[in-house]
Amino acid sequence: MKLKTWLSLATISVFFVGNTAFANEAEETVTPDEELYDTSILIEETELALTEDQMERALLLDEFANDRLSEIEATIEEGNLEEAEQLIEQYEEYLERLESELEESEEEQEASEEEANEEDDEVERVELPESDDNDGNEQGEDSDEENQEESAEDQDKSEEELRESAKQRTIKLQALLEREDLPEEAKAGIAKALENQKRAEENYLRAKAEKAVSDEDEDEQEQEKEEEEERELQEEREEEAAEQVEEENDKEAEAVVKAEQKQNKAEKKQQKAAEKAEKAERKAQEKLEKAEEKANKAKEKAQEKQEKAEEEAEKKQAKKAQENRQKQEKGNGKPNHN
Amino acid sequence: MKRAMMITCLFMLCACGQGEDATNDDNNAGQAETEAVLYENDVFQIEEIDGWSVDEEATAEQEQNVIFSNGTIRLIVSIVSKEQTIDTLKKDVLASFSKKVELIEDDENYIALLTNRKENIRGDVYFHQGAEHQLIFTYMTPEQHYQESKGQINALNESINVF
Repeated sequence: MKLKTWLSLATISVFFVGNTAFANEAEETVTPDEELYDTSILIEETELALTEDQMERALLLDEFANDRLSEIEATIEEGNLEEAEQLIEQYEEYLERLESELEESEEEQEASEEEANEEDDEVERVELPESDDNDGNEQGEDSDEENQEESAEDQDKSEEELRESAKQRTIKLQALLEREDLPEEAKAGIAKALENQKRAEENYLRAKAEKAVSDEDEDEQEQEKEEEEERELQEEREEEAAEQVEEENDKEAEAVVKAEQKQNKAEKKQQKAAEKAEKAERKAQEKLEKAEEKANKAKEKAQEKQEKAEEEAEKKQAKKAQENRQKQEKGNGKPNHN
Repeated sequence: MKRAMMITCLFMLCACGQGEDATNDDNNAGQAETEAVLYENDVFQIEEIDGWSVDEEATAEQEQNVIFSNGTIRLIVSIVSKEQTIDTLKKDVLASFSKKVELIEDDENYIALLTNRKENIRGDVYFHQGAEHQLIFTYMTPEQHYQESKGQINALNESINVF
């Protein structure tokens, strides 16, 4: 039982020792008296050169400034004051670079925020006319906003880290200043570094405060803008509704007019048909009358013809009779005077 | 007799011309060799390779380091004494990178590192032994470009001569 406990304890301790060894390896620094010091500075600078993000660059510079301060402390401990003075100068350079990197980072963030706002405005302008089909765009917008929030959170976190780091450095510099064994030149250098550090911190805080104020103003402006947009949207909706009602009324009136027109047309058609029928009837009547007239005329003509024929026949008969009488008279020798 | 003299003269002329050609060839080869070297000093030499160049400005300020670049790849060649063990050198290189760096590969004469940040930098470090010095070849490249940089790193590695 005891052996088992010892074995597990040993395994756990080996595991912890292994991990700590790796962590220590990573935290170790190369001191100026070491052969690879120049190489280590070159590696730092190369890492910085290959990093594009301004805040990441600021964090790297902050880390390197911390390393230089640790080196200053170490060289002072070793009594190598000449080297310490050189390191203090380098440390100041790092602080200046850090300050300018932070300023650029702020500017970059502001520029990206402005760009994002402009893009939002543009998207809204494009989206307004067809507000029904914008689900996909809204999702994209949401993810953009989330990304912006995330990057703002990262920025805040990094700034907090930088502030904390600067505080620690200030404490270390003050501790160095209080040392009595330092020559005046070294102390003057440290005092200057401390002053620069404080100035950088003040500048940073002032910029932050200004930014907070401008952010508040921007928020207010944005709120006003949103309210105005909401009002405009409401007005547009009301206008659209009124137009729709008007359109519907117009359509109804148009339908009534059309129905009336249709009815009129139908009536006219009916009238025309009646007229046509009347005309046809009249024509038929006329035709009938004409036919009757014709028949009568034909009848009359036939009658006349018959009468004429009868007359002629009578005349012929009379003529024949006269001729017969004349013949008889001739035969009798007496003229017949009838 | 005249004929023999003329043949001898012609033979001599031809021989002289060939000799001159040979001398020219030697000179050209020498020039080609000179042109084909990207960088050389007493400790090492790198043959010329497409894309790679010496960062003269950064190198001018250095005594023990020579810096090369190729796009987003940087190479720092450091000349160190034989006094230090490879393990010490490995530790020092690891400590030279920003904090939170991770050792991702550890061979006898090679280590690979990766910084653990928003923009990671990959480090490939090769240790070479010269007659009087040790050489550290530290390649650094952004992690996002590493895959496309591998070929160029290997090509340069094959062009190194250590004295």
